[in-house]
Amino acid sequence: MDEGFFKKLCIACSIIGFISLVFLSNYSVPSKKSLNELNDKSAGLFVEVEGIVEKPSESKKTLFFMLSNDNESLRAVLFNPKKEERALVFEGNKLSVQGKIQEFKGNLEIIVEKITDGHD
Amino acid sequence: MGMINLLFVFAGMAAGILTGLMPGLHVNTISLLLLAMNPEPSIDIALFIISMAVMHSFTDFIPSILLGAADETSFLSVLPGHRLLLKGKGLHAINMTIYGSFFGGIISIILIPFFGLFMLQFDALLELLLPLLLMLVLAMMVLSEERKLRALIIVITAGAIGFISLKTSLNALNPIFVIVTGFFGLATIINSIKSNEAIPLQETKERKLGMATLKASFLSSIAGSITAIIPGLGPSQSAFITRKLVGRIKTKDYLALLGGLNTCNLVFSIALLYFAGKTRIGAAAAIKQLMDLSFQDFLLIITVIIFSLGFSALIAKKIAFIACKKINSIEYKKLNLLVLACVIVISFFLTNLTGLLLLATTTAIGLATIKSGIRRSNLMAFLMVPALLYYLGL
Repeated sequence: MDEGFFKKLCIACSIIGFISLVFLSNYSVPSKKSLNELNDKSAGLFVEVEGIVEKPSESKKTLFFMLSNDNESLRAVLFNPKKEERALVFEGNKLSVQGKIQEFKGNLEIIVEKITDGHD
Repeated sequence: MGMINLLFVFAGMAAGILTGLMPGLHVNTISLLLLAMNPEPSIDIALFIISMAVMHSFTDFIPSILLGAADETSFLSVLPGHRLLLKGKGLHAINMTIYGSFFGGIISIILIPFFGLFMLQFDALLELLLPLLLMLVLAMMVLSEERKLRALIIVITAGAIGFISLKTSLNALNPIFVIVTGFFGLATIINSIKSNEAIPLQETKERKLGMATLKASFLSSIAGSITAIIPGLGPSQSAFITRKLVGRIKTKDYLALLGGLNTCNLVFSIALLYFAGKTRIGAAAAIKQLMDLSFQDFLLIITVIIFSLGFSALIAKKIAFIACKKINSIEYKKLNLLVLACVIVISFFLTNLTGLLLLATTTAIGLATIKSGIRRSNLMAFLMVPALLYYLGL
């Protein structure tokens, strides 16, 4: 194996790494978590959580609601909700929510990217 | 992949160049500084740490081979590297560590699934066998020397230094850097200054890679996986044991083995963090402290390692080429004196006067080993004896 071939291997390796990075970033799969599993270290994670909708409200094209189970609740924020998404967010409905966990004023919240009916 | 993530990866690699080339500056130092700033848990910081660690595993051999200024992961390369440097083959020596790191890293990534399965099955058994293995290697070190009594004295002295430094309050000073610098770095530099060593013109002609290099990379991958599994076993000990188990191995292939070991240890330590939540290296410990790794995060980290491997190999080769061309235009004795002064100043800042005393002691032992005609790899006992005593419950 000569030097030129090694350089080509290195470049190929970086290109494969780069393509994989792009692929992984664009086709990210959320990790399934229960509301009880979320803690300070969860900020930044892309997750899927299930819960019951409580206290839905809307202001300036942003939908807010609490996602709760028996013990825990998590504030959910959905920017620019679509009509079909709005239809799913009502008091007492069970939802499955995908999104990124972030910390806001000392509390965790989920920035919603996808909502599906939890009864499906 | 957003621009932001890529920026973190490139910034990490830039930091890795710095930590690799500057004696005394380590990936762990930068990681600790980052954590001290209490960043929000973010995969971006983890990617920064990983790309820095990958680049570091390539570049830290450059100062250790050219200047004898090593850290705890690259110090075994000082002696074989210096030998090749004196024959005008310094670039070849560094390149061998780069080839070892690159191929070792790739092989390790391929072996991750097998590593996961193996680890779950044999973790406990390996820990049980370790003291026997360490005793066997220590005995082999002494018995393979012609002057066995001298070798025994060196092994006992180095072991005692290691025990005193790592098992007492001195450990708070993080003394490994100082011990390694004294035994292998300063002893080499002072010996080189004293003997008025001249560095011959360095060959810059590229050499072909043989199958033996790939074999050494594969070995480094196996040894790296064992290093990641067994607590207390460092890459250098693993390399030493591998060399003893495999038998005669050419200097250049040994350098490939050493180069590969650091990168392989990094890959398997990240796998260990994901599979078992255990940490063996600073970079993995920093990531553990930062966030919980999901499967996707783990995949992202592995792809960043793949991306960084190619980049790091190319950049490290370029830096090595420039450094080897420049080293002849600099008066080597003056350069050695400058490094000597820098290392003493860094040691003082990192470990204060107690550290300087330890540095003087270990340098004296290193020089005594050179003068007594005993292989300096016997000084490895400074890590092996405390590890052995730990496993024996002492």
